[in-house]
Amino acid sequence: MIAAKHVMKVHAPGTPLEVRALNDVSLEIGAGSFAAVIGESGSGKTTLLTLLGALDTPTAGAVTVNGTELAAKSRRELAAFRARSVGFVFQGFDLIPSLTALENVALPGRYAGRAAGEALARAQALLADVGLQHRSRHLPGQLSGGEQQRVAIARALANEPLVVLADEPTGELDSKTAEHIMTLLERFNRERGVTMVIVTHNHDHARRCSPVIVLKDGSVVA
Amino acid sequence: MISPVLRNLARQRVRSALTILGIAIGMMALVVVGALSQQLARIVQRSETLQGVVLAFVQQSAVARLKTRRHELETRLLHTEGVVKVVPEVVLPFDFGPGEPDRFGPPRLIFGLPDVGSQLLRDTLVMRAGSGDWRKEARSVGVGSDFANSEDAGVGSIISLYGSSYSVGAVYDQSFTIFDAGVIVPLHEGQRMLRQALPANLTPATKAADLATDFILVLRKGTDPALVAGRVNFIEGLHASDPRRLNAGLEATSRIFRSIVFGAALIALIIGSLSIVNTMTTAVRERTREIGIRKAIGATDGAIVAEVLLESAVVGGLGGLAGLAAALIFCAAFNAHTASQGSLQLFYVTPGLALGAFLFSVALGAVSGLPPAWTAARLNPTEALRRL
Ligand SMILES: Nc1ncnc2c1ncn2[C@@H]1O[C@H](COP(=O)(O)OP(=O)(O)OP(=O)(O)O)[C@@H](O)[C@H]1O
Ligand SMILES: [Mg+2]
Repeated sequence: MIAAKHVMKVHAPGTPLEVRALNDVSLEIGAGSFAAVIGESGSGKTTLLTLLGALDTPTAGAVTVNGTELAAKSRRELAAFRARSVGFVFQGFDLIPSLTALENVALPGRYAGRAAGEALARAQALLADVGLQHRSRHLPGQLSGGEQQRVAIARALANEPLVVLADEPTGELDSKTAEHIMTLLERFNRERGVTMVIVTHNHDHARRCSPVIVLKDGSVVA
Repeated sequence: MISPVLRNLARQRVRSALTILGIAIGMMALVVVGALSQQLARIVQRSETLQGVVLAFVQQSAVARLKTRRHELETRLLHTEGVVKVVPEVVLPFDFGPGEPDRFGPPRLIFGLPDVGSQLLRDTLVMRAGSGDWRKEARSVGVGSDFANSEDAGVGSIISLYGSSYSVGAVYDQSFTIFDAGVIVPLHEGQRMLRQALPANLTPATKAADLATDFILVLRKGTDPALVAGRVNFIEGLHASDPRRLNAGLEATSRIFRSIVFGAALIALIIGSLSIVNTMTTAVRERTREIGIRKAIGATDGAIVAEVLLESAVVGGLGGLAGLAAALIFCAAFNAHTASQGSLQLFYVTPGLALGAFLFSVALGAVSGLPPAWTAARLNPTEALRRL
């Protein structure tokens, strides 16, 4: 279970650029949920995701994952937590351009300390699972947007994480490809029990999720 | 593990090539200087081996020669403390004239040596071709490797010395001593040539068999050649120099020379290494977002540092390999050129030098990658991810 308690996040504190992106956010997302985060642009969705994924630390309040408070972890432990317990999917199909599809999917395994052979074998299986076994040696630049996002999903699942955090994973895809990606995420949620937290602007997609967290000006309104 | 690095380098072909070229130039300079010092070290070491046994070249003054006091001087040398054996020799220039502008290295000399003299040089002069029995043949000579190269002489070739023809009975291996550029003839032949070179009014009074220009001294084991040289210099008509002073002179000159060129090579390397720092700093800045993603999927600071260092070490290593290849070609070509002229070969690339240079370039690359690697590792992942 992922929980946020009275979380506040101020960006660039003490500068003229200071922004209170999140203001007293409390929420709970149960294990195995297929959750959505919606809200207007600038409402703090990405900020919330980075806090849940231990990429950033809240200015105040606490984030706990399966009962462990992230604030208590060292820099190194946070890296290990990101490697083993979290999978990220970004809007811009962010694969490492110098690595092949297969190497991209194997990378979190390497960061989690797996042997190269094992990481590659798991990556191969995951690529097959997203239907891209025939693209494993392609570089990201040689893949379509939809294919890149499938590789990114496979990469997010590489270490069997507790939670996958997806920031507008279908934002730059046409509606048919976007539907394909949503179906894929739903399937992994159902089959593997991975908790999914998906930021989306698409209300049809949001309707398939539960719970749906609505942010407005840095606060949870529903 | 290396191929992603190469892909990254290939993405910025010109920039990578220029950086690698920078390192290559510095490494080439370093290897060439290294090869030069290796060769000088080899020359000094070989001549030291020779001097362990003999104190070469106790010269007779011209006046003493003409008075043919050879036997008297030989006796006095033999009675000098530390001397075990005295071997007379005749040393003559191979050619006269305005010098040899295209050559460097020792002068080309003719050595008239008795059989015992040849025995002494057994360990120094190893036969490359021909027969050790050449001394038994009339008008037969042995030639040094550089001499053979420059005169295009092999076993059986006919060479002309002081108006007479001789046939080459043996060619010696390179010994890195003065003999490489020379011809070795039996003592009596040398004496005959010397007699011909004397002014006509003196020749009737001089018997060839009495002539010697130098003496080779065999010293008792453990004797300091400098002490013996000092004692010999008290004998009128003789001049001995401490052989180690010759080496010391050679070493001092080459040390100064080497430090100048080493300095230049180091400057080239510092510039090369700064260009790696610059390239990697730019690469890290370009890949800010990539680094953010790597952190998001679990890279530790150490993993980020390792990735940047690996890339800069590969740049250094590629530069090192290119520089090494260029240096090998340069040294081989230069050596071939000087060898064809019978001059001293100047460069000697040992496997240790080559390996050391390569490892050094890899280390240099890695060290140059440290500042940008540190910058990359300290990047805040959320900030990095906001960058495009
Ligand atoms: N590093 C930063 N420095 C200053 N302000 C920031 C920084 N990061 C985010 N903000 C601000 O915080 C607020 C929340 O940003 P966030 O990216 O979380 O919004 P979002 O809901 O994801 O918007 P979008 O739907 O457009 O992606 C915004 O007003 C943004 O300008
Ligand atoms: Mg956002």
